[in-house]
Amino acid sequence: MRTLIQRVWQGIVVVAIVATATFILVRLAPGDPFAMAFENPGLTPALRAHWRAAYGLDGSIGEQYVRWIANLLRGDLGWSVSTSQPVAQAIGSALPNTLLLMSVALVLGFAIGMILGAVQAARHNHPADHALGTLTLIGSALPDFWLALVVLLAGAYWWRLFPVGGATDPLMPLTASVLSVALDRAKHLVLPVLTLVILIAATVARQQRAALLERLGADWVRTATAKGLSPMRAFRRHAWRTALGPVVSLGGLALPALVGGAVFVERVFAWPGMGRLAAGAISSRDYHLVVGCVMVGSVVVVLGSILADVLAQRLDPRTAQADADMSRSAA
Amino acid sequence: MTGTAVAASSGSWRQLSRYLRADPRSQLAAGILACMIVLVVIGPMLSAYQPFEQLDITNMVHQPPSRAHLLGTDAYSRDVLSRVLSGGRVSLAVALSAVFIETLVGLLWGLTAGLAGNRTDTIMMRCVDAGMSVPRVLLLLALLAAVPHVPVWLLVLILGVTGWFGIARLVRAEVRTVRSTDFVTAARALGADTTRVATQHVLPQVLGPVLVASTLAIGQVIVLEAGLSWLGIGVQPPQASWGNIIGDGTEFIASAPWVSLAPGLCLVLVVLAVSALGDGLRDALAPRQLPTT
Repeated sequence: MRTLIQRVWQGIVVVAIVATATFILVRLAPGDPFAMAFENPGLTPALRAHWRAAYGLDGSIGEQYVRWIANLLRGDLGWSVSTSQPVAQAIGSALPNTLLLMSVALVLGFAIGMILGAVQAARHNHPADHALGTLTLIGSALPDFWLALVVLLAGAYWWRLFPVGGATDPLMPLTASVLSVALDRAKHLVLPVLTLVILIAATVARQQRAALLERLGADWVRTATAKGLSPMRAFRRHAWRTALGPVVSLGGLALPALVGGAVFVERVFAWPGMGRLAAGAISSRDYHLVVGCVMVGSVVVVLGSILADVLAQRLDPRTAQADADMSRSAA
Repeated sequence: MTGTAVAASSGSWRQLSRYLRADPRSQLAAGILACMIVLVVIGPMLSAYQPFEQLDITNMVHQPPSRAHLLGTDAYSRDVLSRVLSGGRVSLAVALSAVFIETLVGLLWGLTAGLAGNRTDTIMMRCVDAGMSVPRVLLLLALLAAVPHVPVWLLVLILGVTGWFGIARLVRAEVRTVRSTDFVTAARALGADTTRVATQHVLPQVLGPVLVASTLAIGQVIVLEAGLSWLGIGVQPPQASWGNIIGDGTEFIASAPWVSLAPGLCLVLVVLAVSALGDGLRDALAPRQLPTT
């Protein structure tokens, strides 16, 4: 419990550092959201200055920062100039889409990857192991955005099985039944989820295979077999069960890459999520939205890694005990 | 003393190369990499077209692969093969230089932290922890958004300074292990100062794991650079890189898929080769790492 509070505290510090760094960085470059549209003679310097003041982008970086922190403490993330709505609202409509995509992909990717890794470990050095080993090596080497393009090309253009992009069918009548709405959502999810699942499953399978092989060679698995346990039971109860912890920790470590990958995958499939929102915000120099997106991204990463640690601890009581000992000796 | 240390380390390098030569997968990977490097270095000199040359903007746009244009032409009627070859030069050069910076910074940071110990060590490693908990892509997006039309050298620098945290942590851990070995104690007893211990005794021991990490980092950086260039904030057109060629083809993926597919396949091939080589190196070095457990 102590360590959990400590982790949350560290996480808050990390998010604060990231947000501050982004806040300064996006303002370093020349120009701002109102520096464009030079050709319009109606845009006088006075008008630009008025806009800057109205949107809270006037004064020095220090002043803006103090103002932004004060607003943040009241739960106000600022106004998004490019999407003409509060930043919180823009993020509020994009975040659920990204979370849906990522959670489905994570669950499926881990399930498939763990099964593949287990099959490989059980058939160690057999043709199945070698074939899957080659496949997972290729899978972990695929660049996310390119894989997304290939999946799009195959699934939406060559075979025309699934929609090209977006999260919903814009022509869906408002009176459509719940079932057909759900089906429509699912159809739009298939291709982006498939892309992410290939990438996640390949990495997880490699890790699962290595963790299982290490345990299958351990003395206590040999003891279990010698006691008369069937190989299947020894594999499941003794090797697989103890390998769960490291594989879950890997999920936490892989999270930053996954959040980054979502930026690319969402762009290819025009998925209305955080990645697309962030990319758009950066190109239109929408300061408040950029900072908001990066901040939410780092919160997701920090929360995910804490969750992975807690889960890994639950799965392997030894690490929990070690942590408890450590905090006791520190106290 | 120095003589034997050098002999021992060069001996282990010879052993390493012998091990790699016995491993068919590493052999294949090294072969593919060598071919790719030769292709992108010599290829642009031999190709019939300039990578920026717009051959015929009215009649030659999006020609499918043919004998005259082995990989077809793109939306500006440029020869895709010439662009892939010259783009490969940029992609590989950017990745190698960025990883060189990553390795150098990580090595120095880790060595300093590990040898200094105490307060300095704690502070330096907290910085590494903070750096590692930020998604690198988000960090790069924020940094590159501040630099419109980023020059290639700056891109290399930015990629390099955002990627050294893992290597620093690895080096520091290795240094802490090596520091407590008998031969380092012996060297200290013989009057060697910290610099001498670092360069003559600790550095040769940590180079192996660092080599593995750097090799694997090359694959990551190639993909990162490609992703950034694909988004339009990496290598700037008309300069080709594998990433921005894929980007050029993305809009026309249905009508002219060859523009995006060819550089993507090169990317996959190089990343595969690099990660297979990294795995091979790790396996080759593994026997030496076992005693630490």
